[in-house]
Amino acid sequence: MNCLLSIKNLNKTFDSKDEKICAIEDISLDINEGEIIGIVGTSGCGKSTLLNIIAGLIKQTSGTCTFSKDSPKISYMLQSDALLPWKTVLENATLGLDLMHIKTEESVKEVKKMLKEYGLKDFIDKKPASLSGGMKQRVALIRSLAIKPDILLLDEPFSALDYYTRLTISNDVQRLIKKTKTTTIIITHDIAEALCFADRVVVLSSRPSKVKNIYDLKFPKNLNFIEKRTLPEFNNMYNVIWRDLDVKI
Amino acid sequence: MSKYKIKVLCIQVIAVLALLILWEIAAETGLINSFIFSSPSKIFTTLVDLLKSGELFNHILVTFKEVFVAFFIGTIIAFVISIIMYLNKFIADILDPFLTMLNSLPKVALGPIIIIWTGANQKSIIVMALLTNIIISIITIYNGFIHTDELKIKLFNTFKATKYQILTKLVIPANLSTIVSSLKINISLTFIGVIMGEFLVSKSGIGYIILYGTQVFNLNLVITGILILVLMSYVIYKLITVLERKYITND
Repeated sequence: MNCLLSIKNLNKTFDSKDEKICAIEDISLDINEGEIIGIVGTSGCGKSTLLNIIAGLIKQTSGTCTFSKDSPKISYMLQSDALLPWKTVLENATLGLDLMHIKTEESVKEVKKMLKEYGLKDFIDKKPASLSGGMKQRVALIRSLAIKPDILLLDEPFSALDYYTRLTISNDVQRLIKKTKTTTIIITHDIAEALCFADRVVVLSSRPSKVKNIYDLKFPKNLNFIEKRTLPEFNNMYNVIWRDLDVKI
Repeated sequence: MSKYKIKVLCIQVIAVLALLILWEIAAETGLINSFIFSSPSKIFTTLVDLLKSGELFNHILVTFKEVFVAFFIGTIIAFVISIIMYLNKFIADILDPFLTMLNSLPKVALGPIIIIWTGANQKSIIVMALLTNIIISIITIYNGFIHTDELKIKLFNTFKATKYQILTKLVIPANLSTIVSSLKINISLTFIGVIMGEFLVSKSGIGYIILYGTQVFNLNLVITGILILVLMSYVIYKLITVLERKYITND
């Protein structure tokens, strides 16, 4: 497999009033094309900082973060859907295409097709206010995928949803990502979500974030999220990661 | 109209009628001095006289014109300055303390200087009104701009949006309702500015009627002027509310 993104000895410190806060310490990681990486860590451990650096929104203090191709297209799906209330669902879904000046008739057609496929057919020309939380999140995902990103970054994308919606939506999202073979990094504090979603799970320690362990998941393919959860290996992995996180109860 | 709304309206009408009747009776029986406090019937005759002579229409027009000119110029300037401040944080930081100072300054204090600088004419009335409305408009609109949802800005940044795209496709549409509410404040302030200006210099306008009435001690004229003013500001306020309902459909 081709390596798409290579992170080497990444460090990030923030200057606060009188001390330096080290958010990320010496993270190295290779991400292959078409792979889904799950990153788990306790809240506030610096997971989002890592994504922000990969997305180029903030600069690292030291270390490198190199893509194998020039000017890669990066899509970032945020914790909230961040849909624009004054635009229709279709306009929202094509926002990225619009801003990057790559909107064509064909790309719009593809977006429409995706919207239809994911149960949003009747809402294409509606405003987001008429959608449920799960539907909004689907639109947000389609908006991210519309630009055909080289890498998709998901930052706790389902944390605002209730448990049941969360299960179905994350299942849908994962299917769509697999289908489009989009390289993806998903950040979550939910171990089960990471296990269902990813091909590889990276466990980060608490501040400063260091890579504690990386696990290759070998669950049988083609299982849905509920089926995966019933596997005995799933529970074993869950317990292993839980111990890694070292959360005191 | 619902039953509830009719009820509210009825009580409002009754309250006004009761006030007018009490006022009239008090004036007729000599309970209050009608030379100083006027009376509804006297106000009515004054109004009819003003209408007959055709003066009233002219005065209203003059005041309205001043209000609209100052309102439009003020809104446009405030909007442009807010955009400049949003696009350039450096300029915004420099301007910040001055805006705060000017905002708390009672603008009427500048009246005499304005007359000297621009001459005792309509120009000084407009300048007066501009000074009253512009600072607070800038502050309101700019504040709306800088408080645009951070997450949405981040989203735009992930799509490599330019600052100009963020402004036109996110910041301005997201702040339409802020802009409209600033227009509402703006219009009433413009009114204050215009009347202050007309008090200082003018040969026509509702402010002039009120001031002239005081000078010749014709209290009927003064109170008639004030009543007309009340009606005018109500009409303008309603107009903006209608526009708001029509064009702002966001939640």
